[in-house]
Amino acid sequence: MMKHLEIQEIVKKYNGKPVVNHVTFDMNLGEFVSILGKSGSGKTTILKMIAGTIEPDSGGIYLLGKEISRVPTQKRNIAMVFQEYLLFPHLNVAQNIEFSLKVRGIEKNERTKRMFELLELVQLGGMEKRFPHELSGGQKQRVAVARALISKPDILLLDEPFSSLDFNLRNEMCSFIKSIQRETKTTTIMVTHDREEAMKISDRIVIIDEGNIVQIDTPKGLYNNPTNMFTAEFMGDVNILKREEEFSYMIRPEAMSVSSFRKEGFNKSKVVEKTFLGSSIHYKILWENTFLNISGMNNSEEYSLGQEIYINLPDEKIIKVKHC
Amino acid sequence: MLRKINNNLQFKKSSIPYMLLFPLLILYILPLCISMLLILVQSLGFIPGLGLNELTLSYYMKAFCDDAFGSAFFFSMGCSTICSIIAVVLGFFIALLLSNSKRKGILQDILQIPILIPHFTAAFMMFLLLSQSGIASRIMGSLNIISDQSFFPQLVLDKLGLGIMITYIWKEVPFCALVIFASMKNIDDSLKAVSNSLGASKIQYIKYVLLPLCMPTMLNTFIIIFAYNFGAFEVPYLLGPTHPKTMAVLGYISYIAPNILVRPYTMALNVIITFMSIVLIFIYIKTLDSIKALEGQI
Amino acid sequence: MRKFISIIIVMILIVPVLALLLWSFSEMISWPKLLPDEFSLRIWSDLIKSKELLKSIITSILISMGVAIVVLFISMPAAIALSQFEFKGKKIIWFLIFAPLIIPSVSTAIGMHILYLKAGLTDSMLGVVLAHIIPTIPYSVKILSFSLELIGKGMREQSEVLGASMLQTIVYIYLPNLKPAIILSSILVFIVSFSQYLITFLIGGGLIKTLPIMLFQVIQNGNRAEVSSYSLVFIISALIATYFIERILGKNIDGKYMINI
Repeated sequence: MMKHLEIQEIVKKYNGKPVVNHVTFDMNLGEFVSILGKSGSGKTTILKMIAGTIEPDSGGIYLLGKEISRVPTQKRNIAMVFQEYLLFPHLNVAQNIEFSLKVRGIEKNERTKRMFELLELVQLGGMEKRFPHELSGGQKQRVAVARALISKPDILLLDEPFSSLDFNLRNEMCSFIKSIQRETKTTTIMVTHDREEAMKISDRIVIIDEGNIVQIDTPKGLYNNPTNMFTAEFMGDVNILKREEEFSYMIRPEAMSVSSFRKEGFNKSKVVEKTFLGSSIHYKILWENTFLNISGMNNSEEYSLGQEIYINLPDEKIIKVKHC
Repeated sequence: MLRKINNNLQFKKSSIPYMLLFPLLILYILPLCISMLLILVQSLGFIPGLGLNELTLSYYMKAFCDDAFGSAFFFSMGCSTICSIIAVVLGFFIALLLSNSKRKGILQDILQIPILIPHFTAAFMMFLLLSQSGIASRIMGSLNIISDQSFFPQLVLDKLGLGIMITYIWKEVPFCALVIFASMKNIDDSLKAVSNSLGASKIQYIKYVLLPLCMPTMLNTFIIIFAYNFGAFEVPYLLGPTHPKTMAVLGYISYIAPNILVRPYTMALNVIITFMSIVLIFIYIKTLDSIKALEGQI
Repeated sequence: MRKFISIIIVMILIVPVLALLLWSFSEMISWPKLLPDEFSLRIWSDLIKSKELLKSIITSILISMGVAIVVLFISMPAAIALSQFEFKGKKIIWFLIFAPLIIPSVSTAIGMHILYLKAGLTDSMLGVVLAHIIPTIPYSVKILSFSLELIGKGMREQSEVLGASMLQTIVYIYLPNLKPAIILSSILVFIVSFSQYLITFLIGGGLIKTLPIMLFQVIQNGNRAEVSSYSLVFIISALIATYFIERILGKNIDGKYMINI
């Protein structure tokens, strides 16, 4: 079956140094994929190549089977929501949302009809006459999303969409965008450096580091079955049990069982540090010669500093990862 | 040293801005207001030095009834409106050209030249180029397009004011271009990426985003050069026809006339010119605002 | 294509200046010739010997320098007041500052002439300098207050919190930060003053002979060669003077200060 979007072996170099290095992945129709990486990892460059603001040095981008990497931005049916929203300051909400229909020469009545549909979709009914400077951060973002979706793009690109929002608003907008994406079945790519954000919203995540794809999987797959050290550490806290030449063995903090008394298969250890975090409590314990991090829920049994406790490391929860 | 001065200068906080404005008030605002007031009083026929002590509107009536006055008004308004519009529009396109080139080129330096040259010198330069014995006419003569200089169209001292307008355009396009270019540089480059990603072509970006965002600056620039062109007398005095004259030339000639008894008439003329200049600018601001509002509707 | 258009524009801007150059070396060129039969240095050698011309250049530079200094002392505090403080009557002050851009120059010149006749300031250098304040203030105040707004109120408040007075704030905070704006506004004020004809003519009463007064006289006489050479002298002195203002006051002028003049 033909994929909705295929990225094949794209390379982009600046001053001879590859920023994006033979990146390949594909997407199905209606899928939500996040490109997750640290700043400077090349993730935004990939997005810009899909958007068409920069051209790859080599490789191909296929949208609905058609190679588009040399097609000018405005001729690709792609919409992008930028980090700073970038609403046109001289246009009101309605005119901002209508913009892409206007430049495509669609007549006024049709435009207005579509604009009101989108306004409803992003829950901004009645705000069509406002200007960008009269809107809050969250409202601006909703307008930016509506403006991007009105032309029914083949792909929606989101560039760090939540980074300019306050913490509380961030969660709200995250689930809001997810629901809109589901409702409109828009194939979406988001670039972010925030792991939790990516896990909450994505069907699949592409982890990228120094221009290379490290691993692609569902959020759950990446967390539970990382194939390499980078992914394992990037996706959450991890305890390294043993290092070998090529592989390491590790376990997630919540995968260990803890008991305050001796049990079959449990090993003795000692609490050396305790941090209260509200819903959970984190402990640092000393087991043989290794420090381990474990966490317990606030409503379960609490251990005190210096207490001897017993831990169990189930074999099936131990992850074997490659060094990279 | 400063601290010492300081301790002696303890003032109420709210009076600070007024103190800062004091030099402006004494050396600028007062002279300006008093001189305008003097013109107004004299225009009403009150010049005790000449034995004129009665306030009257008759000099205004005289000015309005004068044929020369009517033709001067339309001539001034037409010339200055047309050349100001052309200057701003050309200025916008040159600013586009400047903003599209990656490096600062020679064009930007050359654009400074006409700004340095005063209007009356520019008028003379245009005379050198465009008069019937000027360089343009000589080129056409050398190419045998015309056989005598009298066949060259009259571009200066002409009844349509072409010479005046060409001079103003040559002098003011660079000013407009640099001012509009400066405001273009302040527009976020990413807006171009946004409008591209929303499907707008380069021309659509210019039309729907860049132009409206430059509009306030262009309007300001238009008002400034229109006001100058409407009220300055040097260029039309040197390059304009004897009839019709511009309002400013009329005002000036009447002022330097040897007959001192036409003084109140001169002043009435100047009050009218000032008043019309202000009214016209007000009308332009209003019209352009409503055009902008209309555009939003479409 | 873009390059072609740029070249055309450069040509249009520069050809009139070249025409001046050509004519200043020619006694007489018969139609339809473009170049004179022989180039002549007579006009230039006359000019160089002319004491009157040298005097007018010096007069012009003295007057315009004076105007630049006086205007800076007026507009600097005014710009601080307008950009950093809220007070009653601010709108009226702004309107009055921009008034010379709207009121026809003929009217302001005549008005100033009547006033200065009454005040006994006509026919003097001082009178001319004071009169040039009117057409130059709008540019100066606008440029300075624009860059003061960019600096913002925070800097002043910070300096006040640290115990500085208004005067200290001006000297230690504003002046160093405003250097590019001060240079630009001084150059612009200089050029505007340097090009004034009408006000100088009326207030100076023909006794104060600045370069524009001389130039206007020769333009009316109509000898092309003479006018061309005078015009070139004017342009060159303006260029040299602005170059030195820039060198004296500092370096680096940023284009952003040109906005919204």
